[in-house]
Amino acid sequence: MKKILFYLIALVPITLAVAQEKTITGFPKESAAIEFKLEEKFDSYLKPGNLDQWLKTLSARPHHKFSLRKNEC
Amino acid sequence: MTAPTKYIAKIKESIRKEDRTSGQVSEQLPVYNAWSADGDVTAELVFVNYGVPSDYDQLERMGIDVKGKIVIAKYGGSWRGIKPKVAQEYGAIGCLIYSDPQEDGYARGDVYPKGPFRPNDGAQRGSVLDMPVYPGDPLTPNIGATADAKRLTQAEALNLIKIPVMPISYGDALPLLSSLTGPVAPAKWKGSLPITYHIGPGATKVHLKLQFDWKLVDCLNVIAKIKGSEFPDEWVIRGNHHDAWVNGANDPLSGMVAEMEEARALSELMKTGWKPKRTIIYCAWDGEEPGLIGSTEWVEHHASELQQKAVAYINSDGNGRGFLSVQGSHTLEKMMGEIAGEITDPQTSVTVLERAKSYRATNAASIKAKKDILGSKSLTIDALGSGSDYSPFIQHLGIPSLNIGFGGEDDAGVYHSIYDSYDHYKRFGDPTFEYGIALAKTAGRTTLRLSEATVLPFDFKGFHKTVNQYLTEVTALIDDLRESTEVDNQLIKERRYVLAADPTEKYISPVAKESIPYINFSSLQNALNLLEKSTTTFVELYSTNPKPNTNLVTLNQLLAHAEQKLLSTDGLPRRPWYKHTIYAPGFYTGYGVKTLPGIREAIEQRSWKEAQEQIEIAAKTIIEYTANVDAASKILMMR
Repeated sequence: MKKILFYLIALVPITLAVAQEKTITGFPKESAAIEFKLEEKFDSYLKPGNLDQWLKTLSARPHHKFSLRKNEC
Repeated sequence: MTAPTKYIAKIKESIRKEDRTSGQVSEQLPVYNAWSADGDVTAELVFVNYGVPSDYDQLERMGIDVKGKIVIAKYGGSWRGIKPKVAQEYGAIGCLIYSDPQEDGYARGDVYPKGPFRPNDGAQRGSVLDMPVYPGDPLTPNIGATADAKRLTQAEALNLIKIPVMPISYGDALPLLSSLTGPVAPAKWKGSLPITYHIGPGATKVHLKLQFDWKLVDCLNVIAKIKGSEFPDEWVIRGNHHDAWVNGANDPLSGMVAEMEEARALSELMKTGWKPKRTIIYCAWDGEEPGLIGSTEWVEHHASELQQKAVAYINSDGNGRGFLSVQGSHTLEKMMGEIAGEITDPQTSVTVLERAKSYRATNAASIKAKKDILGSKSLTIDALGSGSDYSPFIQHLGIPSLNIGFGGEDDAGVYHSIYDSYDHYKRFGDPTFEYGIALAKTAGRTTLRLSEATVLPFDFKGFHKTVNQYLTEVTALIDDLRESTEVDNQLIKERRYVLAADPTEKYISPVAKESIPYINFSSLQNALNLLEKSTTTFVELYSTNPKPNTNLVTLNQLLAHAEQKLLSTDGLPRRPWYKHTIYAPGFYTGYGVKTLPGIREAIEQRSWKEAQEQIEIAAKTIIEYTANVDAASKILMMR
């Protein structure tokens, strides 16, 4: 049991080191870290419920080119 | 149908209680093909399979001529606009296009409302504008269709079809096809209707009468701009169309709502004080369905500013459950691979990159292809043909472009019908919208990375590798054509086709073709060789200087504008609106891409002088592109 715990603990810093080395083409290291955080924040705002609700609203009536409708959103 | 029996096509999609918007009859656009000519014609009917050029070769073998006839073609096998175009070239006076159940009806699965596929009265609306000649408003090629734009007449517009064209359901096609006589269709032509497919002509006559309202109307694009805080004159552009044929839940709204959510998420980021470095422009295009009109006219109107400022265009259209699919400029393949490797597939918890790779590897046509895919660590993106709003950006202006979407587990048969509805999408498209979110994450990262990158992430090495592959393909194409022509000519000379044919059936032997000369690819091969050296230098310099402290704006301009060097001033032969020498929709495929299109199509059409000219033109653009890469390398060398 102690041996397994030791190996698991030993693996953690390696895993962290790998995560820190993730790069993005076009971004120097420090900018990549900022970009990853930005994308995480971006993701946190995304709500599938909005897509569902907007799809229902926008597809509620036919809307071919130039089919003007009054503002109902 | 006026003979041998009378049948009046219903041309009506039924109201179905399971589909709550199917009853909006007074607001629905009728079943029709946009840009069909007006016409009132009566003629014998001939079945032409998909109605592509090789089908007419087959008809010629059988001694069947469509001059003065009305043809009926299956949807599929090519973009729909090719069918009336080729029919017209062969002298047909009318064209019907029907949805065979083999393509998207009961042969694929249960039909709507029980399952997702096309019911017997479902029909596919769609444009038959000759888009491979140019998309957008047919009366204003190359200029924006503003109120005061100088317009061609309808007769002068080269992409307007001259015969009446009409789409019909398999319910309406069945009486017509089952009354046809004449030879039995070849095995590959047969669909899934419960009849013997005959070709005609014979006693079956059809009366086709169409009349359209040709008034000019407005297109309404929505354009939202977030000004960049550091590089306001570098634009990252994101777009999806909002217009549909009817309710358009999958096409296009499933992609549109993902883009809207991306835009909303950006607005939330901005509330925290964040501002993008580059300007980000969100677009919702009108008029895509009748022929990419909203996007094309906007691009043509703003052409010179876009060529100065646009960094890239990111497109989406319909989206659904399944696998990531990306098409676009191969300089952006590396960036897309990085992004795909960071997004988790909602159903399987591996990355969307791994899932896409799994799909490609298991479906690849050859063992070699499977091995190549398994051995690759990155995403493969396909080349762009046509079919959505990226076309004017990349193929007319040379702006690097991407088309991003998920799908493949949402197969259905309601495309361009009244049944492309919220009710259908919730059951069969992406019921939990988790793939809509995956699209928002993928396209959102693409937009953000292009906006925030210190050095724009264009990968010239990847581009070189891909174009080199295209060159290998076209050199093999002409060699294969040479060999097959030699063999075919021998078969013709020795009367083998005639001797193998059934003497009780009409058979016309093909005519021998001219033998194929050797053409000279060396200028293009040498140009690509030099490009390879330049891309290697660029990659090495960038790896040692990822944060250049000098001339960053100039460097990024060189990177963003490189793709414009691939444009030829005169454009492609017979379609000068299409200027990109590497990617174009095929003249006879429509949506499907032809890479190195000038060379490839000249070979396919057996125009050797043109093929040689197009090789020289492509070589020249690669040399100019290489000069751009070298200029970028020079900046990286400065410290």
